[in-house]
Amino acid sequence: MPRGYLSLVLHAHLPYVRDPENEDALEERWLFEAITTCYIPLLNSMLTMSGEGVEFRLTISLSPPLLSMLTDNLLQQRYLAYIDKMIGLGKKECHRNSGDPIFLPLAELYLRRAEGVRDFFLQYQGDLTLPFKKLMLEGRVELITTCATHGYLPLIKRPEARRAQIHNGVEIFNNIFGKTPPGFWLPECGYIQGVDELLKEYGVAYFFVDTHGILGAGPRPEYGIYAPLHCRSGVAAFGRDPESSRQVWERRIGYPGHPDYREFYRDIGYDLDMDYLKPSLPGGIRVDTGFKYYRITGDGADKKPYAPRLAETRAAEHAAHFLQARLRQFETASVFMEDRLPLVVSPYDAELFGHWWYEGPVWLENLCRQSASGEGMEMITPGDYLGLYPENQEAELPMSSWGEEGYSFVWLNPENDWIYRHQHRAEAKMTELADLYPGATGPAERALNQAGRELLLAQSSDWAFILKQKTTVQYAASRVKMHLANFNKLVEQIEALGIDEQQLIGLERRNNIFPSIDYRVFGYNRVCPEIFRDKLKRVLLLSWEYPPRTVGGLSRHVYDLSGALASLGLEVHVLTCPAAETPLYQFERGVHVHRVNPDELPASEFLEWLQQLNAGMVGIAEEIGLGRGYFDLIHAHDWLVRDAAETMASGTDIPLVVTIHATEYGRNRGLFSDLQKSINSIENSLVNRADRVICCSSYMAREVSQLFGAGPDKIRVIANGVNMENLVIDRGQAIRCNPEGKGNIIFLGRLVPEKGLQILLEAFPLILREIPEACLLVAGRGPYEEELKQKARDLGIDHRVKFVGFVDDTGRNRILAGADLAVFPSIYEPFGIVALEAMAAGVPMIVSDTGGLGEIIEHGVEGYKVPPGRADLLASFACELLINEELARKFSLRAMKKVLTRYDWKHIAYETGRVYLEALAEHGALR
Amino acid sequence: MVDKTYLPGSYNEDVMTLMVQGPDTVFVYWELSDSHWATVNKKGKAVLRLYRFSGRDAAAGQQSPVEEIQLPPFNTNWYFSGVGSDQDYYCEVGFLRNDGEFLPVLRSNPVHTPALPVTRFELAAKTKITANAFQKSFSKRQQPSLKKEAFVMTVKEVLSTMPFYAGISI
Repeated sequence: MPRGYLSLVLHAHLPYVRDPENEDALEERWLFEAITTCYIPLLNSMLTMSGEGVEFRLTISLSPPLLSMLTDNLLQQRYLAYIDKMIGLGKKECHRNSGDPIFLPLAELYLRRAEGVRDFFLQYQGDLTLPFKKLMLEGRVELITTCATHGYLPLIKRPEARRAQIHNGVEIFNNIFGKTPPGFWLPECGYIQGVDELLKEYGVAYFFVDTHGILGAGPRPEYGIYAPLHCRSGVAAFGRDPESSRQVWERRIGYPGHPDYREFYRDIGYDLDMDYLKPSLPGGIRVDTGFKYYRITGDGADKKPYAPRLAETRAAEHAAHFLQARLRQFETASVFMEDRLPLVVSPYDAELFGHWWYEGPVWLENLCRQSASGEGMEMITPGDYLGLYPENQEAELPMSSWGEEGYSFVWLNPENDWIYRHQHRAEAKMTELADLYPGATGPAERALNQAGRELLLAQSSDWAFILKQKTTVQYAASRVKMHLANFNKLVEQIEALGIDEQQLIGLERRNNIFPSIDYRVFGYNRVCPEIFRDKLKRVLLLSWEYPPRTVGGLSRHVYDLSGALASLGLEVHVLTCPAAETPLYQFERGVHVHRVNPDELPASEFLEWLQQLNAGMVGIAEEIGLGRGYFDLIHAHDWLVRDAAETMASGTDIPLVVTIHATEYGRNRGLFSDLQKSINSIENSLVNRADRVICCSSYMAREVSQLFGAGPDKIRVIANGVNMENLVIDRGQAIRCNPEGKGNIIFLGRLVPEKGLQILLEAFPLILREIPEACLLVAGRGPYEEELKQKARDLGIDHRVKFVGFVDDTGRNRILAGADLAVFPSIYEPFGIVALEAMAAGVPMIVSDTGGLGEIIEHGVEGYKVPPGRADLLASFACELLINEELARKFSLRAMKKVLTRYDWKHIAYETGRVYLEALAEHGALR
Repeated sequence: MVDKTYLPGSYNEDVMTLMVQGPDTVFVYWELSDSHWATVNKKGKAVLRLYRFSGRDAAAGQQSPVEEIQLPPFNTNWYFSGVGSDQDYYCEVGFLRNDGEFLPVLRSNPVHTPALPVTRFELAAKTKITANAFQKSFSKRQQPSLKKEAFVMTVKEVLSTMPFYAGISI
């Protein structure tokens, strides 16, 4: 019966180095040295123990660059050449040391070991993933992986780019080992909020963080570092144990520094004569050969000869010491861990074992054997621990890493900060291209895929690390620059629609990692209709308004959403109110529209009418099969359909998803009348009843959260969309208030105070001062119209302001076609679909920096944002955009791209569908 | 193959990115397109500002600046050290008019600086351990239909394929 568990984790990674044109690439030696001194000795040791039935358990992370290099034919061939050279050098060394009682045995030992390594390598036909797989299948080792090129996630700007790193890592692992890795090694243990959700998408159950990443979680971990936490997403985080780390890693007190261990820096590659060494070394440069004859001895330069048997004894002692320390730790932990056993997680760079610390593999083997034959400690993996204890404390983890100082200092400092403006720009570009050209084929597709490879290779955290450590600075800097320059070149060609195939082939040959990469993984839009299959078939959408009955944006929203959901393969039924001269039932665009019979709505008072409407909806729903289990889910929009939604959901026990487009409180900036208060409580009841709540902006999500207490696990933010087809503009049909000249400013929206037109009117005299020919066209109607017209008169600008009243889609399009600037100065705005319309029409735009409207564009990138109410600033920015045409054009082009790629209804429907699936899963799971 | 390792000095785009180095240091880089830069120079003195969000619901664009830097020419990045930990920040670059009004022309993304590292474990009050749907699905046997998704493998499945576990009891 153990008193505690140890998860020893080896993280094996090397940057991807493969230089087909350079026979003697210095940096390829990193791989060869690691294979010779680390991977093969470890594999040998583990396979031996496994063969003897020693019950040990290790977790090993094999990075995708390492896996790619280990399975690469060219590198395998070059490794054979390398090990042959080392054997040749070994023979020479035996000859050189002949007769020496101390150094000859050492030379012979190294020669034997090199020959053993060569035999092992050939035994597996040069593919070292095979022995790893063998150990996995024998149940000795839990294999996991890390990001595609070991990209440091906290400094990768976009979630899409982070996802691509995770995706390609998981894919390589899957291709080689035939399964998803149960866990994931975050590069440098670099965690930032959101990473766990990405891991969850791939079915990964756990990852690792540094000590303070666990201890600093909120709420504080009740088991300290001795048990994992799980994020809200459900993915578990295991923290590094500092004690066991110190015992191995610490430069002075750690085991590897013991005087009896081999001295790394006394290598014949540096000590002996160049003429002797030349045949064995690449290009005549002094490098590590692995023939080291001295032990550490002490701090001074005087080194005694290496004594292998002494060192091995020491390693066995240190293993026992390590084990004892763990047992003491378990004692301490047991005091506050009554209902489970403590787990100590000890992650190390694999290359420490055998390469930096020559005796490392011996120490490790001793530890495994002692642990297996002892009683107090059992070696398991994090996956095993989760199997034993699947329910763990939930907490929010802070951003952290295991780098120096615990955050991002190592990868972001004056030595390497220059990288990021280029890297982030490439990331954004890659996403943009993936979204703009999802259907690319032929050379364009290959170019996009290669661009993805170059980007991934540039993101390798190794480059920034090397620049900071100032080791092979030239090499690292040139790798970053080369990959990003390749990327830029490919992008230029893709955008110009002219791919240089010869060049592309060259790049594909040179940087050939990730053979089956799909550039689409970088996209913001990832539509995959198969997600619905078998789980979700028919949904009921409840909305009080629907075209042709259109009062606000709700009608349009439900119309577009229902059509997009239908095109994804769902059977969509919309229940809504009647409209004049419109049939009670329609089937259009794949959507079933059912309208309540007006005969059922005789009431003249609004609330009573609403009650009847809801009752009518329930009636229709029952008619079309609600009671017979025909529908999988109900999706209600806003408070007006609460009665129907709650009745239907309770009666049938199917999940309810609610979209809150706007709140009564927000609309009125408070609750003042009884009616408003009762609407507020209806909204409250509906939100609390729902399994999921959808809001159109983060702003609305906060508002809903504060008003009704809904937590972040319940609310999902999905932006509204715009249907590009409805914005077809014929410039010849344009309506301008200034037919001959420029300065055509437009406002579209309801004439109510919350839309802020009055601010724009106040700004107008200031605009006229700089641009006397400016004019304002106001399209829309509402209860505030008279006051606004009066205000225009009072300000003396009414001769330059034209109120054109309500406009239909065509009218709106014509007005957009003639506009030089669109202004949306709202004071309260949950979203602002009209802004999307202006963006889609290519009209330069200024919006209020408020609510959801402020989330649509970035200030200074796709338009300008002004604090609500600031007429003076509004005037300044408006003049700027009207005068600086080049800037205005830049803004509007970017805005158009954004609308095309981010506010597409197909993507929104997909995201909505994912929320449906979440609601379904939870509804089912917690029953 | 692209032999020259040349990266452009600028991409003629408008972008501003704020990054976290650690609990007390943030780094910002930006780029203004030519037409934008012309505006800034013409209308006033180029200035960089760092803002801290005053509360959870505070709106960007309406906070008071924590630091203001008069930009030396051609400078397009900056380190702010000594910022507060566990806070939210954003930056703006713009011009200071003669009348003292600051007009921002570009705003960065917001960032959150982590709290100072906790390295000591103090016994915390016991919190209720709640079941999480995702974790539960890892320990429960998967439904056959879900099994088709190649990437989902429960821990139990992992365990059952390893003969080593036969006979483990807790």
